[in-house]
Order: sequence, then structure tokens, then C-alpha cells
Amino acid sequence: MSKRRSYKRAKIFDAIASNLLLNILCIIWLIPVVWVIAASFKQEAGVISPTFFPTEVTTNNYVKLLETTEFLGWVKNTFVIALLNMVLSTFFTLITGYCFSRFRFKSRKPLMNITLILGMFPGFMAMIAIYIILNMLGLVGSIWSLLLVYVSGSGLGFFVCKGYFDTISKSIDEAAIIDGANQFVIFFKIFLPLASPILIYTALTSFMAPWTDYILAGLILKDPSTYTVAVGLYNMTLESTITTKFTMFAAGSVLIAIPIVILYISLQKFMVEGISSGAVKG
Amino acid sequence: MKKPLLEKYKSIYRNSSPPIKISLILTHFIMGLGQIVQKQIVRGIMFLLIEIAYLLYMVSSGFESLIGFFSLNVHNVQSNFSLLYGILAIFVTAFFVFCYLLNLKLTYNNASKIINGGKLSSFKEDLKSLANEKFYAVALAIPIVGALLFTVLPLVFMICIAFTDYGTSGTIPIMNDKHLSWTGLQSFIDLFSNAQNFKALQNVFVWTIIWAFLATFTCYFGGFLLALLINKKVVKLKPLYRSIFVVTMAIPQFLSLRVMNTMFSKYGPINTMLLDWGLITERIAFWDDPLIAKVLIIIINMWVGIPYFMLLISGLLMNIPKDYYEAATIDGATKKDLFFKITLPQIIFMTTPLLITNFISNINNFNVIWFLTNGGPTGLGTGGSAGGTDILITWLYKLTMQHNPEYNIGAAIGIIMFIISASLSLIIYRRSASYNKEEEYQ
Repeated sequence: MSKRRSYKRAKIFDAIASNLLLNILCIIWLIPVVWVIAASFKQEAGVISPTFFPTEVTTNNYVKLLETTEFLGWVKNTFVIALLNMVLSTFFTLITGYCFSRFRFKSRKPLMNITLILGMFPGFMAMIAIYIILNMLGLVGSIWSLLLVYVSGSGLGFFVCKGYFDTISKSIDEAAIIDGANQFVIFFKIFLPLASPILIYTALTSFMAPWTDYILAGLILKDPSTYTVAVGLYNMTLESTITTKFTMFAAGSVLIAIPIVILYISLQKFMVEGISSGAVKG
Repeated sequence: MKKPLLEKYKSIYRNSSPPIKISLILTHFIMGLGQIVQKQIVRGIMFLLIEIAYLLYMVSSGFESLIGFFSLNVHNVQSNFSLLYGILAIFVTAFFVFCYLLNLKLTYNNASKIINGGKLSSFKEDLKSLANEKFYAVALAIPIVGALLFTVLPLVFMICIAFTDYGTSGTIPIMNDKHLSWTGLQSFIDLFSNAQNFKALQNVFVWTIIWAFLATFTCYFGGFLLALLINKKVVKLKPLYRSIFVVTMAIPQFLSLRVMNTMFSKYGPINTMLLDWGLITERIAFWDDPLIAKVLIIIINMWVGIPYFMLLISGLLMNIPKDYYEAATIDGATKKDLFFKITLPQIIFMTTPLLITNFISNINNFNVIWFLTNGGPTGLGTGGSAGGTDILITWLYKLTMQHNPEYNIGAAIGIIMFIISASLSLIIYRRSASYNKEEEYQ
């Protein structure tokens, strides 16, 4: 009897301790988020904060962000590129993964090895040459050049998809071929529906790329009206601008982060599947 | 390999009827003519067009570009441009040679088909095979061209830069009109023999490895523990907790890291808080001390990285078959046994390849370092242009993208980084199950 009671007590203790610990961790993880939201409503413009939470609350930073900068234009630029990139890059990534998973051709292994090797070069080693190529095409300064570069590179990210497709039984496409379906039909009508977790995961990551890419965008886009959100906001936190523009940056961050966070939370299930299938099979 | 093929072609030629013989001879000189004689007209015209296009390109600019690759000096063209054009011309020529060989192969294959009494495929049949067993040729065309133009070509260009003297700045760095020349291994020699550069290289290299190691392991085990904690039976509201951590994953890194940088700055809220609590008497400039900055980077990186591993390992924990645990419990295993004999080995087994790829991606983790510290603090004797928290990749960025770029040194560092990660990954990928046993999955 007493043993049972002490077991029960230990269980209660465990429950309290675990939940408490988790709550503390959640608070730690949310502090920066809360602080940046607080900072976006702050009266003073710069970084200097006499108190953790603002003493006076104002929406000035949001108003100033929308009125003095071309924030809405940046959002529009980024959104257009992100949407197109999502459609095109996802398509090319998936179809490349499909080919490497389903076909056996002579140059297959060499191409896969070359892709691996290319991935090992530090990415922006290529930036200067990309700049010159875009200059050659007359595209420097244009947001379309970003789309071009993102989509061109998308085929190289096929390994995760290939790993996922490898787990889909071959008998499915064999049956379809016997029924007279060509490869276009098999890919679009059979594989894409079957691969919806990896489809959504790939779509989400390619949608997010333009929102976070500062390096390439910062190199190519020089005119403020063509900025993407990443370039525009990052430029507010340079050493020369942070003292006057930090709270505006905070306001911008909040506006950008809210939709993205909602997107992530609603697609969480697919994230887990995408990340773990990519990690283990890819 | 060469000889038998040649012999085969010779014997095909000997056994062919006179008109086919003519087609075989023609195809050696003018691509596509062979096919046209063999009555595969559309195919023939396509090859012919490729040849015409190539010749036009070579006459108009390609030949000059090819020479420019070696001399790096073409009239009216910037020196770095002529290097790029030269590489492009080499690519185009390689493609043309490939087409030429393909053209020969197809013509001879046709001839051999005719000898054996077969029928040549019509254009319609060719199209049909492209929708079926040759589907990959259509599907991969655009991704391959894209990768060639915006990944391979730029990389070849940068590798070449390491062997030139592309180092001094003009007004707009990339658009300068300095005349380049090939200098062989000079930039590597500069990197290793120049005392400043070499000291920087040593410091940066050591910190890069320490950083990659600590970043990987803190986040991995942190994420593992957090996943275990959330998956405990006594924890209610699992989805809520998971969502909270996903929030921090969803915020674009440059935003959250810039915010972190500000929070820990001299006049930021952390300093204010510590002052208020009386823990410190004057504000500390965390980012000005390389050691404190490094510790902060590792800690803040845990904030960024743990949620990712938590999600990943949560996913894997669900995939461990329940019957393992049931069977073990029936055999009298305690909770401790279950964890150390089943959970831990299973997870580690599944994530080892990932750990190593994560280590490599941390070597190349530009974002965390750059957005937190810009590689600073500078001017504390790390050597050369490197700052106190620079890792190889951020140093490379400074050398190529900032004022006074030293492209050739940057490119040399890039090549060294490539050699490090390539040798690490080759070992891993070659051993990994997904590479070697891919047929077993299907």
C-alpha cells in the first residue's frame, strides 16, 4: 500500500517537474519574440532601452514604416517572387527527384555524385560570377534575376524528394504503365498525390527562401524600390542605421513574422514528416 | 574501350548498302546529313541547326572568347568578363562535341539496324519514347541547363579566380577594369606564407571546427532531451508546446538573429535587466570580447537549432515500433532499460548520417555568425582582415563582398573549404545506406 502511494507521489512530482521545466523553456524561447513585439511599440527610435518593456506604447513605428519606407513594395516584391519560386522550384525539384528515383540511365550515378560535390562548395563562392552573368543578361537590379537564380538551382535539391519517392512501391508505376499511362500521367496523377507530405515540405521551403535570403538579394538589388523584405529590413540594422531605425525594424519584423508563423504552425505535421524523411532516407 | 567501338563502326560501314555508306560518310562532316539521307528528317534538321548555331557563335564571338580565356585580354572586354566568356565558350564547345558524338552514334546505330533488317524509328515514335522510357531526358533538361549556368559555370569561374591576381579593388569591385593575369599557385602561396594571412587562417580554422562541433552537439542533444520531455506521458498539451518551439523556427533567421544581437548589445535590454537586478555595476559590451561573443554565439545558436532537432527527433520517436517496447516490458525491462537499450540506440542509428551532414552545414553556417556579430570584433589581432568570431565562410564573404575585396585569396579559401567538406562527406555518403542500398527500398 505504502509502496503504491510513494509511486503515485513520484509520478505527481514527475508531472509537476516536467511541466514546470517545459514552461520555463517556453518562456526562454519566447523572450526574444515578446521583446521584439514590445520594442515595435516603443516610443524611442533606437536600440537603447532604459527598461525591458516600453513605458509608453505607440503605433508610430508602424506608421513610420509604412509611410517613410517602401515596406509594402518590398512585401509585394518578395511575395511575387516567393509564390513563383514555390511553383517553379517545387516542380523542378520534384521532377528531378522522380527521374533519379524511377529511371536507370547511364549518366545517373555520375550526375548524382556531381550534385553532391557541387553542394560542398560554399554557396556564395559563386556570387561574383552570378553577378557577372546577370549583368551579361542585363538583369542586375531586377527582382526577376533572383527568381531565375533560385529556380535554376532548384533541381540540385532533389535528394530529399528522391529519398521519399524511393519508398513508394515500384509496382504502382508498373501497373500504370501496363494500363497505358505515359510518364507525364504517372508523375502528375499518381506520384504527386502520393507524395503530398514532401510536396508541401518542398513548397514551403521554396516559398520561404526569398523571405530569408539576404546575401544574393543584397548583392543584386540596389534600388530601394526593388528590395525584398530581407534586404530592406536588414539594412535598418546596420551599425549606421540601427540607432535611428531599430524600432521600425522591429515593427517590420512583427508584420513579416506573423503570417509566416501561422503558415508554419498550420503545416507543422508536414514539416515533421518532411524533415524526418529527408534526414533519414535522403 | 575505344578500339572495339571503332571496329564495330568499321564493320557496320563495310556491311552497309551504298546509300547508307554515303550517309555514314556525310555525317562525319556535316552533322545531321546522315540522318536526312536515312530519312529521319526532323532529327537530321535538328542536328544541322545545332551545327549551324555553333558555327555562327564561334565565328561571331566564340573563337575570340576561347582565346580570351588564356590571354585574359580581349579588346573592349573587361578582363574578368573575358575569363567568364572564355569558360562559357569552353562549355558550349563541350556541348557541341557531345552532340557530334551523339550524332555519330545514332547514325551508326541506324545503319546497323538496317543491316539487321530492322525499321528505323519515325519522328512520332521518338516523341512517344520521350514521354515514356526516355522521359528523364525531357524532364532533366531544364534543371541541368539551370544548374550548369548558375551553379557550375560560376563555380568554375571562381576556381579559376584562385589562380589569377584578381585582388585589387576598383570603384565598383566587380566591375573594375583591371587587367588580370594567370599567376598559378601564387594566391595559395600568399595565403600560407603571408604571416598575417596565415595567422588569420589558423585562428579562423580552429574556431570554425570548434564552432561546428559545439553547434552540432548542443543542438542535437538539446533537441533530443526536449523531444523526450515533450513526449512524456505526464505532459499534456503536447501540440501547444511543440507549436511554441515551431514559432522560433518559423521566424526568418536574419530577423531573430538581428534581434538577439540587439538584445545583447551594450545598451540593450539584457544589460538593462542585469543592471536593474544589481548583478552588474556597469554595462558590458558582450560583442566586443571575442570569448564572450563566442560563448553567446553557441548559446544563441541553441535557441535557433534546438527546435529543429526537437521536431525531427519527435518524428523519429513516433516511428519506433511500439512492439519493441511491449516485448521488452513483458521480459521485465525497466524504464531505464527501455531508454538505453531501445530508444537511444535506435535514434542514434537513424540520425548518424544527419549528424555528420549537420556538422558540415555548420562549417558553412554563414547566417548565425554573420547576423550576430558580422564576424567581429575586429582589430584584436586575429590577423589580416578576419575578426574575432569569423569562421571560414564569413571570412570568405568579407574577402569577396566587402570593401577592398581580395577575390583570389577568397577563392583559395573556398577551395580549401571545399576540400575539407568534400573529404568528410565523401566518406559518409559512400557508406550511407541510402547511397549503397537504394534498390532495397523499392
